Amino acid sequence: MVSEELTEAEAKVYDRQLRVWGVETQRRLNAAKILIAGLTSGVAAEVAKNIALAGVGSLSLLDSTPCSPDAAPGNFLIPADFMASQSVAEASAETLREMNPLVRIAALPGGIADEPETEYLGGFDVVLLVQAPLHMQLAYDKACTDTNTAFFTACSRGTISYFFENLHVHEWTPMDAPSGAPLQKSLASFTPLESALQHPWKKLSPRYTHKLVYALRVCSEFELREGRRPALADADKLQHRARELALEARAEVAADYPRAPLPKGTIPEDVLPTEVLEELVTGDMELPPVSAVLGGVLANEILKVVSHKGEPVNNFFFFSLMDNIGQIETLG
Amino acid sequence: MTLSSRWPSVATSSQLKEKMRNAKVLCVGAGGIGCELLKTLVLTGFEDITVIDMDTIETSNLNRQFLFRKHHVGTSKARVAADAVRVFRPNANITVYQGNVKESRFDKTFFGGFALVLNGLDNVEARRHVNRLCLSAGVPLIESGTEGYLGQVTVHYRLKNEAGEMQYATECFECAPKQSRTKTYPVCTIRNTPDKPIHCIVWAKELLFARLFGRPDVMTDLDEAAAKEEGADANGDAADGHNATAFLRGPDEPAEAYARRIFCRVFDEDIVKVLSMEELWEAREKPKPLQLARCLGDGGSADQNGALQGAHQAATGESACKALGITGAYRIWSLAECAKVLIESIRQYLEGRPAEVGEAVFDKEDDLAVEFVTAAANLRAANYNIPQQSLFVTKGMAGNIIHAIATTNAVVGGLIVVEAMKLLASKPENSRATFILKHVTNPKAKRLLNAIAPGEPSPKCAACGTARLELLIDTSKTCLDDLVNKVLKKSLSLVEPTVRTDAGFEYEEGEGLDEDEVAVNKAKLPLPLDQQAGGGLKHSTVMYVEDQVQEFHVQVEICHKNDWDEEQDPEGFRIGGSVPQAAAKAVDTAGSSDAASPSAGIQSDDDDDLVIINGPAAKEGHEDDDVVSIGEPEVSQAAVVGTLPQAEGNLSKRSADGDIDGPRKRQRGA
Repeated sequence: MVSEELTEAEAKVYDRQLRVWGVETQRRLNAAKILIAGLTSGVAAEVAKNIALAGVGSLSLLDSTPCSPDAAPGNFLIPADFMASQSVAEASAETLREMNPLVRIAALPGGIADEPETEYLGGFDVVLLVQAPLHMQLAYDKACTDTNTAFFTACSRGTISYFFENLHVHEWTPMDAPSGAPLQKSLASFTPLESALQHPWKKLSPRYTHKLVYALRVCSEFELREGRRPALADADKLQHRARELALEARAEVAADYPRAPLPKGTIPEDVLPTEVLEELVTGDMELPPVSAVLGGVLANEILKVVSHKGEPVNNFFFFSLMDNIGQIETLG
Repeated sequence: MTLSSRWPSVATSSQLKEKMRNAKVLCVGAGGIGCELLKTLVLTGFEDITVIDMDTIETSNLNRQFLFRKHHVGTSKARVAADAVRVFRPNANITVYQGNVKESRFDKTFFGGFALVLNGLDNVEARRHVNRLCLSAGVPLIESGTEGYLGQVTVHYRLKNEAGEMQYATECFECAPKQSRTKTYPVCTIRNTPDKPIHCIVWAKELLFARLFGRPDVMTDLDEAAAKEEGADANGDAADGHNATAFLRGPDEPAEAYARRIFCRVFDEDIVKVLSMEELWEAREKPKPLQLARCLGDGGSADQNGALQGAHQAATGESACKALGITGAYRIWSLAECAKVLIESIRQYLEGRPAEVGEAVFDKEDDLAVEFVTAAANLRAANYNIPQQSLFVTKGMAGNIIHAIATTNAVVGGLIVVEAMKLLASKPENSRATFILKHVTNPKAKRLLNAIAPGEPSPKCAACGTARLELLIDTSKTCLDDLVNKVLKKSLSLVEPTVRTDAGFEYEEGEGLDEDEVAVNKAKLPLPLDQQAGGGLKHSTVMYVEDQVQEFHVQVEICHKNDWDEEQDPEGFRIGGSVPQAAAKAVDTAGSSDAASPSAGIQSDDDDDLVIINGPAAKEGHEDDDVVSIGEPEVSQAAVVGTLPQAEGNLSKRSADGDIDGPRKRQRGA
């Protein structure tokens, strides 16, 4: 069980977190290889900071966008007097190396590819794609599924944010055992992003389901069909589609109960509040506090995945300023 | 409402951006939460920020206080944090104060100059102090706390409309009772009958360490109790002995011989003595003396000149383990290792740090001190058949270390800024108390962050309401000094208390007194309460207690109570709340779960992150003659002294709504 002692430097710097997750977890973190793609985003900077501080084995950054005053307004890792010759990944890597010299941090050459090489992603334990167009998210999810690499994709737009997690099949133990009992291992199975986005509405419980689930569904369909993200002008069209999906779901429920009225708790026709939809489609710039919250929860997830400790988010997490609630939804 | 004036749409509006750019905000604390908060504030567009922090950077901060680097260790947190955020936002105008927020320069006028106060503090006393100043200056306060995976952000304000009428009011920080991590232990448990690892660690740190290396003229709590107890019984010198001469090193005594003598005295002879107090062992397992030679193995006593490996080298005073070649902070040492580390750490202290001996204070960042306490606590645990602990765990328990990770602080920093934005956007109706959970608690609505509307102000709150407190205390045995220091300063968090009664008793502290007045007030301190001027502070006397800096005032009614049970109430007093103007009634001492107990703060903790603040108040740390106080990493198991009356109801109500969060739930169960 005991592989090697932590070095003295590690023990001193990591003391406070060792008291949270223990030495064994720290050793597992120290061996993990993480890739973050999309360093123009504040969420990426937040996650990179959080997991670099936690002490992973290696952290690779991918984004060839050249540094410029407006390239990455939410990325606090890039100094105001950046070198124009550097990419956002290179500038971020430099700051992260100073932040935790115990972690190997590299800015990888090249940019974020529309069609990632499966082999390339397979070299990592965890891949996180941030603020990417949907078709790219789907391509990464597929490539990571082929190599059994844990995949995350995150978006932070205005007052709304969410991430998706695909661990394929993941074994985990609880963070705390009930006094003295051995830790029970559990297996969690995940769904590809593509099918998660097509989750049948009939199965959703309107009372508990986060309203962003409905908004994200119609916006995703729109983006894949039109090749662009919807804008405020498209809101009516999206609302129409939401109603259509709700009616379909109601019809399916009605088919199950041919001679009775629809049961209580059946999805209503107007399931998607207009203001929720509007928040999602108008969200343009990242709001730093929203990215900080999402980046904190997401980094915790990466640490859980790598250490196999703690029940992972399966498979969407939503956080918005509408209500300050951070909720997990299992879709697909 | 138009799209842009509604929350949350207004969060991205240019009007709010302008307000954020111009708002003067005060950040109290530049530690775990403070670093995250500062970063998110400047990224969001706040440009006029003042930071107060008294601390300097330590190595163990670097795993989460991401604005600091290794070469900053030892320098001011506030200053380095401000410089670090200017690297990515040079336009941020950050004013830095390296100091304690309780200093008098940070008064009502100072606080009144800010639009918002944002707390990232690490102790309850300072947070109460800031709460009272915010109340008196009328500035909204956003409070926060984290511990491990748990965290929370709460909002506290009284907002008036243009006509000067109260429009929005939330509970203040002190309306709900606060959990403290400090715990007290009856002195006889520590001295004679320990049964938990923490008892051994308290003994090693507060008693043995202090006795061997601390100031000889300072009696520890344990000494005093021992002296009292043993005054009438010369043979009662049990487990430590106030007979301090036994612990003095002879003029020509070699350090290692002295160390061996100490070992024999405390782990062997004292245990033999305590075994002779037969009444102690009627219902307890008897302790077993440890022989040094047996602990060390064969070679232990053979070489009187220092058989310990490594002990021939000159002592550097750095580390006993290094000198001995003993490694493994996370495993439990063998008895032989404990004995060797004990002896070698004493030698290292005496020979390697001679100037410190007689002056030393336990510091959890001092390797040698931690090694000594670990070895001594484990040897004592062996005496009493108590599970032993690794150096790592011992260090946490002895140093009252708060568990802390970067991610929770980052989320909390973000949530503070969210609440700040709502207040600047004039959307107080959207304010939320937000809780970060470790696990999903409701399988239907699987939440990792939960949010509820802020609580209502409690009319019975001592800080913002009209509470009259009841103080149960022995008025003939307690002197004014204890009332002032233990009750008013420690337990009620006043900084410069003033006490008056209708009958003419007066006690004052603080600036503005001349020398004569200071002397007159000082002279009152050693006298028992019932012998004070104005007929004494006796049963049913009402004291008017005030702190001018905090603008805090409360009536405290005294209820005399003698014959305290030391096991139940090691501190020898209780504070309870009562309905204003209610008839004086003695609090039921058997189970006064309705009595108020504004909590005492975290003791000896150093760290910049904080504790979860909601939940019933646990018994607090009172540095009484008869108790040893120490923080414990786990939630205190001490008896609940009391909660502010309203709070328990609030908790149950929220619980019934299914909106209960992890931290509260956990503490309800504690």
